[in-house]
Amino acid sequence: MVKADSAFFILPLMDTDFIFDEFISFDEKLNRVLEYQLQNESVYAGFMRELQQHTELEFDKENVPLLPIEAFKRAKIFSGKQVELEFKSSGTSGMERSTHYVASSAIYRKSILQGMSRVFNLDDFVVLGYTPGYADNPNSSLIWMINELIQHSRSELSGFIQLDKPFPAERIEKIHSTGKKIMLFGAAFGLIDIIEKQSIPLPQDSVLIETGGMKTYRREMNRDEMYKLLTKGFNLKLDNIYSEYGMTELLSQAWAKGNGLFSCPPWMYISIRNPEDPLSKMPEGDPGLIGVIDLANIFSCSFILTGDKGRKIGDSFTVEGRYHAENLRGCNFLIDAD
Amino acid sequence: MQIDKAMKSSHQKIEKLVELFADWSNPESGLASDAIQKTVENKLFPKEDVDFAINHYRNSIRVDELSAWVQSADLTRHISVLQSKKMICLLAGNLPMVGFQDVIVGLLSGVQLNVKISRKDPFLIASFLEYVNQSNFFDSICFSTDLSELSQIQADFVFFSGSDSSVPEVKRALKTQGCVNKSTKYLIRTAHFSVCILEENMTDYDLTNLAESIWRYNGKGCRSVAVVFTKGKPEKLLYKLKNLIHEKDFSIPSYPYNSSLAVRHSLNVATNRSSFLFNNKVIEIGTPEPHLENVVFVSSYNPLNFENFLSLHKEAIQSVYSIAESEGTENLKFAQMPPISWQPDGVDPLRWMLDIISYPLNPVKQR
Repeated sequence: MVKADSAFFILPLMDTDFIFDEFISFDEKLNRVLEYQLQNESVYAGFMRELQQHTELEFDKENVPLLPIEAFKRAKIFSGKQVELEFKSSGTSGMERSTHYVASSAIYRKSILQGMSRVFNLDDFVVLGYTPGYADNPNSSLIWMINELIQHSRSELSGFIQLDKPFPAERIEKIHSTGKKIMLFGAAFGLIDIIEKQSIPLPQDSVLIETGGMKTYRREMNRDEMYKLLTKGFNLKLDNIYSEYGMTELLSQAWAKGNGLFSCPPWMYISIRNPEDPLSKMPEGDPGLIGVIDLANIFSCSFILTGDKGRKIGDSFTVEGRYHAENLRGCNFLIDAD
Repeated sequence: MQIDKAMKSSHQKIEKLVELFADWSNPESGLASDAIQKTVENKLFPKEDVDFAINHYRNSIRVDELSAWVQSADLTRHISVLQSKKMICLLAGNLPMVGFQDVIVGLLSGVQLNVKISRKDPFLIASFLEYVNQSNFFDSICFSTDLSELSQIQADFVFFSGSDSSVPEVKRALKTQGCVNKSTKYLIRTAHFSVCILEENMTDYDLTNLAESIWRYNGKGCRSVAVVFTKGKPEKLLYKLKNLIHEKDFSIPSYPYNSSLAVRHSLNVATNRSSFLFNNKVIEIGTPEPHLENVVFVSSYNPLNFENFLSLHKEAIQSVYSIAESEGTENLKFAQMPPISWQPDGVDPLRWMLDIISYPLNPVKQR
């Protein structure tokens, strides 16, 4: 049994290959990562030490205490020897931003490539990013990921598309003529903005990956409406539209194919938690807070409670925007409850 | 003569209302005891909070208070018009007898009163209204926990408290049931929490009032303090508050434990934010995030930050309290014991109704 009050001592950086080893069970990997972090990462260990003063803790994947994600805004969460990458969440001036200190770019790279290889045959694709370029955003974990995929594709046709210029139809043609498929990344609102100006038919075997961001879009839109616009605007079938669920604080991503049902790679686990009791899970199908166990985060914190709303559906999960508590302070007449 | 008659009628209503409430709430009469017992047995609210609410109304529903209110609102102007009007009160049920002021407005104004009783507080106000109906003094009041029982009323006025997200759904439900029509006027309150501004030096009495304003009713009232701005050191205030609740006789019921607060408090400890956890509240020092239920923020006061906060949250703030009761603030000691004529969201509900009748095209506040 893992103890939250284990003595602090710095272990040498551990061999991390086991994280991606599919022959080791998730539970076993979870225990090893949990033990390592309790011994080496002071914020999560401090959180657990205090928490066990107030309540009994359990350590299986559905009950293990998850650190609220805002900890990444408040403190340096890190247990590596040296920071190799520093990712920051986007935000307007004056807004507190999360910082994710990453000890090993190799782990992030492996998580991206091995995770995506489970969904796509990466060798078939030329990768385009309809996002700001890497040079302008060295602290964005998303841009870093797209840049890695661009490098991995080993194609001169891969790259970032300039946002302030017309969509490069000739480049699309050129890629198509090489026999490669297109993998186009973009924030959902950015992609919708361009197709609202003009439709951009892509070759039928292209893949469009929207990376979220609808929370800040100028008008409210549900996922079905968004997929409808994207399929129409890019002349693609629903099966060719993917969604990515990732964030600055994570090194792994979940993927959904055209239906909003996300699946994780085997080193990542989603547990939908009860907002009033985040130490326990919600029944399947009921909405709650999305809790993420990302074992690739071994040198920061692998146990994270997000502020996002989601539901568990079998082995998949939905993402339904930010979680807003229904019970506000004060009087609030609710037609169902009152 | 008409005015005299109306005045007399108002006065009679006030006297009768005071008499009925005094009877109903008198423990010796036993009239409310069944409702109180059911409320407590069903774990809807702790007995101490129910008693506190009833005692508060008992102390504030007085002939002088109600007469002053009726006079200041100039009720007699349109008393005959009001008698033909229909009103629906939707009660939220977050605290015992919340919304009772709206019921009083309905009774005093003489409108045809319809009350959607909350399923979260189904016994207390219902018991009183039953007693009022038995008296046969007021027009019969229709009340139910089921909105469909109020269908086809086509009310002239609807009073309720809501939020930006809940209001459209409530209006839709009212329309579907035929409770309203196109000319129905809504008095909707959207404020959700209150703020307190404190001087550096505080007496134990002030501190007890602060604790009362935070913990009473489990902090679920819109008059409950969610954010404290102190001119002293926040750490010192936190220490004093902790001392008060742990060492002195601070009488407040125990509220159900919510483990999300242990998580919040543990996050604070792990990230070096001063914080303590007591009776279903986390009290912490930091930039206020008033949308977090059951977390109370203590911030250092500076005029600019304070003004910015008020301006950012003006729609959500119910009251600003201070000890000295300076301009624009209420006295902290009345946080959980407002006068019966207090103005939720800054609107006198009685005057609002009368102004709508007087100036139907330019009401004080409606959505």
